[in-house]
Amino acid sequence: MRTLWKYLTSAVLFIVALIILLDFAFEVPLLQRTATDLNNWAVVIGACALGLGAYSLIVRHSRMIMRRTELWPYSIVLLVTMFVFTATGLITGSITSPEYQWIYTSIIQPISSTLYGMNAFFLAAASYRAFKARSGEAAILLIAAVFLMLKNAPIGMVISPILPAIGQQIWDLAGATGMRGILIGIGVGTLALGLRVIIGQEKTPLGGAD
Amino acid sequence: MSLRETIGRNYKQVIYILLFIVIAIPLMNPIGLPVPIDKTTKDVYDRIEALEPGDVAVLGCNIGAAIYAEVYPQYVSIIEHLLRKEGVKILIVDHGTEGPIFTQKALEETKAYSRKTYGEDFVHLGYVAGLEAAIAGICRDLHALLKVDYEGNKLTDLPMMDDIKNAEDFTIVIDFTASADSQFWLNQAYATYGTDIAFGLVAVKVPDAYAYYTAGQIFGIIESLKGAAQYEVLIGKPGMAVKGMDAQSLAHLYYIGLILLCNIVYFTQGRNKK
Repeated sequence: MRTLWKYLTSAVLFIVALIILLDFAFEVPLLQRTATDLNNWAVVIGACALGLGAYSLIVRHSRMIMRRTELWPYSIVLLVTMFVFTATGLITGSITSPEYQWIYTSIIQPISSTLYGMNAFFLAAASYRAFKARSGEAAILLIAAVFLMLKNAPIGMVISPILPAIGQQIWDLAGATGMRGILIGIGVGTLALGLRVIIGQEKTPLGGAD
Repeated sequence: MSLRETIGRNYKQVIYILLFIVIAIPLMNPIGLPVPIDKTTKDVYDRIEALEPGDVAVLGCNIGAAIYAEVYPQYVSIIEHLLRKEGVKILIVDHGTEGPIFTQKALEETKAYSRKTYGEDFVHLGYVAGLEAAIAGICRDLHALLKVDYEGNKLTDLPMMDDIKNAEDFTIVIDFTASADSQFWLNQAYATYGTDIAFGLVAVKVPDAYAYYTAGQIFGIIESLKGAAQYEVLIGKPGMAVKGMDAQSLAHLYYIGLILLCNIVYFTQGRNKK
């Protein structure tokens, strides 16, 4: 039964992928309509996945609270937060209502911004502790980092226009070319993975490799 | 314990306090350092300047609280610039659950509702789940995917939406994000329909996008707070980002100072050991 199910899902995946690919290549009204419908189903499934995610989170954290696992009080915080936000959104009818906005801008926004902003402090400590010219490569990295920092802040231009110009050269020659190589590699990898999924060689999206 | 020993043992705290001071002082008393304009930002400005009445600018918003400081000032500046362009239609779609909050905030901040007519000059579609599938759906057949806007108005009741069916009707797309949805716009709008794309990004995403920029696949990038400050200067409305640039400049200098100090200590100690 399980094998039959896997064949069936593989076949559905293959047909769907074929329709989307053919629609990309040819202008056939029937194909276009079918591909649009399939794509819209994916969007609806994506929206349902949000609800499923919330359900999964509630179940998991409820269990953690009941079993008094390590750090269970944080699960209470999570569930209460979820409940308060959901209830406020449902009662006021919009996430842009003043009440919802107040909770968001008073709690979530400062916390998130603080967490993100703390990177600046970790970076400062890391600059002092880890950025040592231990080898030739490390020295090159270090010098490049200094020039790029001076390129990215107006102070570089104030000190000397040459500094950001050097930074720009490093950015254009080393940064962009290196990144392009990585992106092309990712593209080729994605293409290969896509083909494996379509022809049924890659089982992971269908629920495991076994 | 001597002062030197105390600092040596608590050097991290000293670094943190000094960084706090370095950032706080210019925020309270701006130095007014000049803001040089990058080509990546200027290209976005020039493309918007070249828009003509009837053109459609699509804005993708995936701004969340975490990236608010870097990307939101870019978003406000672009909306402000687009609102100044007579006859240009603005279509906004959110790719993140927090997107609608920041879109509404930006529309209120720029007084869009009093300056332009909702439904005729601009429309906010709201959050559309589904990542790349959502963007593909918008590009393929917007009306087949969405029936109502963020406020629940039927799209068929909004005059502006009569002429906007799919990506062929989009003149430009600018996506504001720290995530992969910028890439999705590139895949779905640029690769399939040839729509002009630009990005407003956090600093860590810029290296990815820069490769597309130099290849001519996107027409511009607004790079983090720096790009936002440049854009504020370009539209002649200095705001939050310009204020932040002095702090960023001094923080960068501070980091460079720390790197130098680290290496001086490293080489000095190395010599002493020898």
